[in-house]
Amino acid sequence: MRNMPRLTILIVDDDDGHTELVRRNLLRAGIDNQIVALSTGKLALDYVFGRGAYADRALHGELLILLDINMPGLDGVEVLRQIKAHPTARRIPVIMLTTTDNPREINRCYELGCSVYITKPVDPAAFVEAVRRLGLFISVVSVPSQIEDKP
Amino acid sequence: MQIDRRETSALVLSRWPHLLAANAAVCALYFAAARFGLSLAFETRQVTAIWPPTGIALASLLLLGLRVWPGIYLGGFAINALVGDSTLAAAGIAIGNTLGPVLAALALTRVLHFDRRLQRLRDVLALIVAGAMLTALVTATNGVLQLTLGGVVTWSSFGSVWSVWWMGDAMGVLVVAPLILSVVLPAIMPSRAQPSAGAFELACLLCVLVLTSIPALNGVSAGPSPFQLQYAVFPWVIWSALRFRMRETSLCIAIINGLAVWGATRDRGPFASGNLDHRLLLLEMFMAVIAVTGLILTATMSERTAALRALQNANDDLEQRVSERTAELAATNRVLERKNEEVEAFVYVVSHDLRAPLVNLQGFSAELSRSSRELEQALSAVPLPAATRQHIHTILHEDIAKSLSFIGASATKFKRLIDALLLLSRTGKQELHLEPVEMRDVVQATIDTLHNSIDRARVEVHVDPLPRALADMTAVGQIFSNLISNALKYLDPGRPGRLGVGGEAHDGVAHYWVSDNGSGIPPSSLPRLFQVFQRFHPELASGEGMGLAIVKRVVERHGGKIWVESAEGIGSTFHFTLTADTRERNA
Repeated sequence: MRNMPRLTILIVDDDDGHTELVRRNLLRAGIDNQIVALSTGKLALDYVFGRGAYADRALHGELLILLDINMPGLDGVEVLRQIKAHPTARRIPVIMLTTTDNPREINRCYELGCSVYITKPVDPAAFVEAVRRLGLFISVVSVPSQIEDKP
Repeated sequence: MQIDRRETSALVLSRWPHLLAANAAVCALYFAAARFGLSLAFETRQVTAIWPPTGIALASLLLLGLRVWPGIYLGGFAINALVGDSTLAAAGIAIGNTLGPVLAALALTRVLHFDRRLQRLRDVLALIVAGAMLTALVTATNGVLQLTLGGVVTWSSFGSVWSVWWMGDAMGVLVVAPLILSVVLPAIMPSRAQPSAGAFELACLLCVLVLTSIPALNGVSAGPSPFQLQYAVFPWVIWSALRFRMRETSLCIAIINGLAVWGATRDRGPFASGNLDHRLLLLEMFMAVIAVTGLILTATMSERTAALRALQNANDDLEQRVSERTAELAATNRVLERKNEEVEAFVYVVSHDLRAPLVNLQGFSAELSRSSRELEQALSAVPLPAATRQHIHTILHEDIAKSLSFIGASATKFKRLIDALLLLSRTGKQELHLEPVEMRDVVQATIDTLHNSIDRARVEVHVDPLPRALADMTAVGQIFSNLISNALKYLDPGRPGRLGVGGEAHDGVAHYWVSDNGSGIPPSSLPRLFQVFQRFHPELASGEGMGLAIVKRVVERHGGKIWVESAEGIGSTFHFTLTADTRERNA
């Protein structure tokens, strides 16, 4: 398994606290993947499409994206739309992770093709389960829970 | 009817040349009318059935003011001198011929508030009584007295001469004055013209009038007519009165009466047989009836038209005002709706933005409590003095744990409030699908959903027949669900609970109520009952106090009203209205 390209978890959220909580939850659940945290939608798209600051990013690794909706500038729905409109990037699983429980917004995200929609505050167990299930088929490496993760 | 004072006052003759010219004109007109009147005299005796100068005199005074009396006097003097009276007699007769119209004009303008446009019944009656009868009373009495004193007329024939004189003068006023007034006034003051039938109709009317009047009043052959054909002219007078104004009717009256006099003086027509007094009386009666009928009918019609027009104007005005007010209200409504939407959007955004820090608050308090457990575990492996260990235990389990539990409780409460706010704002935004709703089914479904709580509280629920409403099914379910669960929450533990749902519909409004015999609402709480975050019995029930605010929102979005009747210790009844579904349901 270690030889396979490892799945990178991309967290896109403008709230550092949220990112930190997600990271800790994943870690505690024994998910030892590389985690990249980005604070704007623009950076997220740059990362996914390998442009801008990430022009030289190796595109071989698989991605799992945890995406917040309410972000200043390019919001999560738009980021989702652009990813899902891309011929190859559209295969990346996207978990919408937001404070909005507005049914209309949720429907819109599902229509655009998000994989899972989770409303914050997050129930850690359900959240980790969702990440695990989505990532399982690619490569989520479980490690003993107390091992430090340094991206 | 309002009288425009400006129009009832005489034309202003402020300068001498004007006054002089006016007097000269009146004098000439009077004289000409008198010559014309004399031409209509019966050949057998110098008797005229109609004396137009008297009408000219009164109309001149009414139109130009009392200052034209010298013209009248001179005209009267000239004509009387011309027919052969002595200078003294002519001067004396002219005094009466001037004084009569002057007195009548004074009575009409000063006492009777006469409106010269003759558009009211009272003006026509005033013209008949004061204008015609009073004028003729003065002129005839003075004139016959002068002739008798001068020896021209014997005292024994005073009565018959007086009555002929009186009738001729009165008829002169009745026929000539309305014609002049109604021809001159609209020309000089073209205001508030009444609608009148067209020129073609007038031409038709005058044609049939003349074609009927000549055989009826002049006879088909020479000599007295054996038939009383004079009545054939009445329909044309009525036609004129119904379809035209005073001007046209006065013209008709003048034509008919002129032809009647002309025929009678030529010994033809219905007034050609019998002795002269008899013929005169019949002729005068006929003319008077024609004139009075025409004038009164026309004035009545014009009054009716004016009243209708005033009513129409008032109606239009009212409609105009109603539509203005409606537009204003609609504009205000739009503003309010927009404000409401803004507030709701604001609440929505704020609630969402508040959630983000809340996530951190909750998440990191959980993290802190986890960390403190881990710290305790780590410390347990370290050898420490008993007192220090005890102190650390106190800090971790009492201080930090208690602080965290307060933070956690507050965060939870905070979250519930935000959720409630979001729910309320969503209630305002969600679209309503109005359809006929069978309320009985909705209430039954609500009761079924709540049957656990109902059974637990041992409440007796009674549902009366309910009218159908035009409403959003889901929203209505929300209303009943909130009201019924509220009733269940605030039962009086001291007595068996009873809950009733009822309704009735009239005038398109469906009115429903949910009543209970619960603990009731204290009067002090009633004003705030439907506001957000109001909880009146926190000890009895949990919740965010949003239920009634949401219910009110739902009812109002349906265009209904909601209110409550409550007595502490007896129970509460919540009422609300919706639009009734008045359509008959197909069986």
